[in-house]
Amino acid sequence: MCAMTDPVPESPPPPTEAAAPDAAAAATATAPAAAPVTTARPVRLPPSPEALAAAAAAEAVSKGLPPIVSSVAVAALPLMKIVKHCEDAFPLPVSGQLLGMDVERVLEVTNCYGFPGAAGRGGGGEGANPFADPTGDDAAACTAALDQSQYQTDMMRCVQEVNIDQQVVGWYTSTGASCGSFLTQQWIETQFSYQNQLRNAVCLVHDPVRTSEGTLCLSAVRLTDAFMGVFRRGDMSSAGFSLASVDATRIISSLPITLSGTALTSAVLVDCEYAPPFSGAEDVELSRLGLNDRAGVEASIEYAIGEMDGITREQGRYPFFLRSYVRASPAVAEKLRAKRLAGTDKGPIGADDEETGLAGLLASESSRLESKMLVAELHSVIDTVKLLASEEMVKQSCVGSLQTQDVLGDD
Amino acid sequence: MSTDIFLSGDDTSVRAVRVAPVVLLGVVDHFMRRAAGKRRVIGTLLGVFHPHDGSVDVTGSFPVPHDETADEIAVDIEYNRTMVDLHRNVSSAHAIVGWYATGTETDGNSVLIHEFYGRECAAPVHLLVNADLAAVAAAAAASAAASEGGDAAASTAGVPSPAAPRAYVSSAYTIGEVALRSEFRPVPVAVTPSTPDKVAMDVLFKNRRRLEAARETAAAAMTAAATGRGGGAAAASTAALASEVDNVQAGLSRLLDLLTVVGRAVDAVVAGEATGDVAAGRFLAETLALMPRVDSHVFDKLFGDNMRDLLMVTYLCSFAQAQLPIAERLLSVDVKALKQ
Repeated sequence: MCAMTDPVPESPPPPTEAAAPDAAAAATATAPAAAPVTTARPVRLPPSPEALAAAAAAEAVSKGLPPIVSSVAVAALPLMKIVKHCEDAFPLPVSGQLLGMDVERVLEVTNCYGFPGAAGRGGGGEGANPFADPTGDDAAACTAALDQSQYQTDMMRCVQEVNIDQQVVGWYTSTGASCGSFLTQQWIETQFSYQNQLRNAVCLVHDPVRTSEGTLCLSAVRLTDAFMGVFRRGDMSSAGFSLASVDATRIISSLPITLSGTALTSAVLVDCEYAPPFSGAEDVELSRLGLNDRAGVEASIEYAIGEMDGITREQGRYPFFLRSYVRASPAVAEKLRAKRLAGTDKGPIGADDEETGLAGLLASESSRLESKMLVAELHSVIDTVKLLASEEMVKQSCVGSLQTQDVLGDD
Repeated sequence: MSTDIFLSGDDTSVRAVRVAPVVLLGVVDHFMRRAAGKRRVIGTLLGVFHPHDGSVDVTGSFPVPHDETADEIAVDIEYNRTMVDLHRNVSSAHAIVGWYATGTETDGNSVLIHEFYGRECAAPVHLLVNADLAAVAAAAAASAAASEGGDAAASTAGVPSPAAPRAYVSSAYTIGEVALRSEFRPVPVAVTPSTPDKVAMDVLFKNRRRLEAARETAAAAMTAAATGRGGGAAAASTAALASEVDNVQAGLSRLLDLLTVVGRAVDAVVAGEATGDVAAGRFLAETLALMPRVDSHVFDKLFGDNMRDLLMVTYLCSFAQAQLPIAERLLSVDVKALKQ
C-alpha cells in the first residue's frame, strides 16, 4: 500500500494537482461515490517518463530503509506565522498548510500559509481538509471544498513564483480554546488523507492558550502506521483495534521538534533580542515568573472532567452490546474448541472459521474509535494538568522560601 | 524683492509604525530566496491603520515579484492583487498598508513603487529593512557585546542600530494643483511583539544561542565547558521547546543572576567603593517595600492550603491516568483473549 500512496518526490505537490482534478470531477459529477476518505486520492496527471523513473528510484530507496521522518525542523518564519495566525483567530481553531521539504529523515518546514474558513464558519475543521471530496451531498460543503481547492491552487502558484518551497509537508492546526485537545474525528480524517498521500506528512499542533501563558506549546504529531492500517480497513470494532494491537496510546505518535535558522534570521533575532520590547522589564523570561491565578490548571481540569463524563456515558451505553456479546461468546468459544478438537486445526488464528462466529458477534458493536479518542485525549489533558500543577508548585515553593527565609532581614 | 517660496510638504496622517516580528522574518526570508542577481526584493505590507492616532500596525507581509533596471521598473500588479484577495480569505481585517524593500536607502524606483502603492491605500508606508548580512551582523554583534557587558540599559537607550528597520511615508510638495516633488519622510518605527510573539521569539533567541554554543563547542572541541551566560542557558535546556517547569527554572536562575548583580552593586556602595545612585536606591527601596509582609501563621496556612490543593491535583491526575487503561479495556472486547 505504500507503493500506491507514496508521492513522487520530484513531481509538484499533490494538493495542487489534487485541487484541479477534484474540481473537474465535481463539475462532471463522475467521481466515484464511495467512502470519501478512501477515495480522496486524486487522479494524477500522467507523469513524464523521467518522473516515473525517479519515482521508481525513490521507491527502491524507500524499500531499503524506512523513509519516515524522525524529526521536524521548523524555521523561524513558519513558527512565527503559525503563532500569529492562531493568535489572530483565537478562540476559534484555525489551520493551514506547511511547506518545506523532507531531507533524509528530517522534515524541514520553511514556510506556511493559513487556510481560509475559520472566520466564516466558526470551526476551522470543516475547511481544513484539502483532500476533502467535493462530491458530497451537502451543497454548502461542496462549494466550500471547491473554494478551498481553488484557494490552494492559487496560493501554490503564487508561492511558486517567489521561490518558496512548494512541497507540501503537512498542515498545522490550532487547538483554539479547547485546552490543547485536537483529537477529533475530523482531525483524524484530515491527517489520514495527508498521510495517505504524503507519507511524511506531519501536523503541527499549536496551543495558543498555553503559549500566551508564557510557554510555546507546539507539537508535531502523526498517526501511527498501525492506526493507519486500522483506519484504512475501516474496521472500528474491538476486533479491528485489538487484532492490530492498537490501543488509545498508539493512535498518534509525536516527533521531536527542532528549530532551524539561517544566518540572516539569526542576525534579525540577535537584533531583536536586545531591543527594548524583548529585554529589560519586558523580558518574557522574567514576566512568566508571575504568580498567575490558576486559570490554566482549572480550565484543563474542567476539560478533563468533561472528557471523563464522556467516558462514563460510553460506559453507560456499551453494556447493551456487552450483554449480548457475553451471552453469545461461550457458544462461539465452544464452537471453536469443538472445531479444534475435531482435528481441523489450521493454525492458531484460522481466520475463516473464527470469523463466522466472531464477525457476526462484533458486527453489532458501535465504533470504538470514539472511546479510544476519549481515552487518548484524557491521557494528554492529564499530562498537561500535571505539568501545569508542577509549575505552580515550583513557583509556590519559591514564594514559600522567600517568606520563611525573610530576605529582608539579611540586609 | 525675494522670490523664495517656502513650502512644507503636505501632512500625511501616518505618525508611527509598529511592526510585528514576523514581518521582519518574512522580509529576510524573501531576500534569501531572491532570484540570482537581484539587488533587492520588495513586497506588500498588510495591517491596520488607526486613524485616531495616526499609527500603523504592520502584521503581515507577502513577497511580490518585480524587475528593475536603472531606469525602468515592473511590479507584478496581478500577483499583488491575487495575493491580497487570498489573504483576505483568511483574515478580512487586514488591508494593504504599504510595502517593504531590502536595502539601506531609497532611490528613484522607490518613488515609482510608492506611487503605485499610493493607489492601493491612502497613506502607504515604506519599510526599509537592511538585509545586508555583513552590516546586520556587525551591528548585531556590537549591540550584543554591549548587552553582554552587563549594561543592557546603555544599548537600549542608545541610537537605534543600523540593522533596525526604517519606515518612510511620502509627502508631496504642491503649489495649487501642480505637484513639484515628493520626498520620503522618516517615521518612527518600533518592533512590537504581542505576548505570544514574545514567547515564540524567546524560544527562537534561546535556540539561536544554543546553536551558536553548539557551533562553538564543535569548533573548540576540547573546551567543551560552557562559558558565559549564553552557554549556561544553552546547557540548561537541551530540548528546543522547553516545558513550563524548564521555563520557570530558567527564569528563576536568571532572576538569581540579576539579584546577585544588584546585591554586588549595593555591597559596593555600602563599602564605599562606588558612589550610590539616589534614583536607583529609591527604586530598590520601593521594590523591596512591595514585598507583602504576611503574618507567618496566615502565610503558613495559605501556603499549606495551596500546596495541598496542587498535590491533590497531581495525585488525582496520576490516579486517573492509572484508571485509563482499565477504562479502555472495559470499553472494548478483547478478541484475542477469546481465541485462546
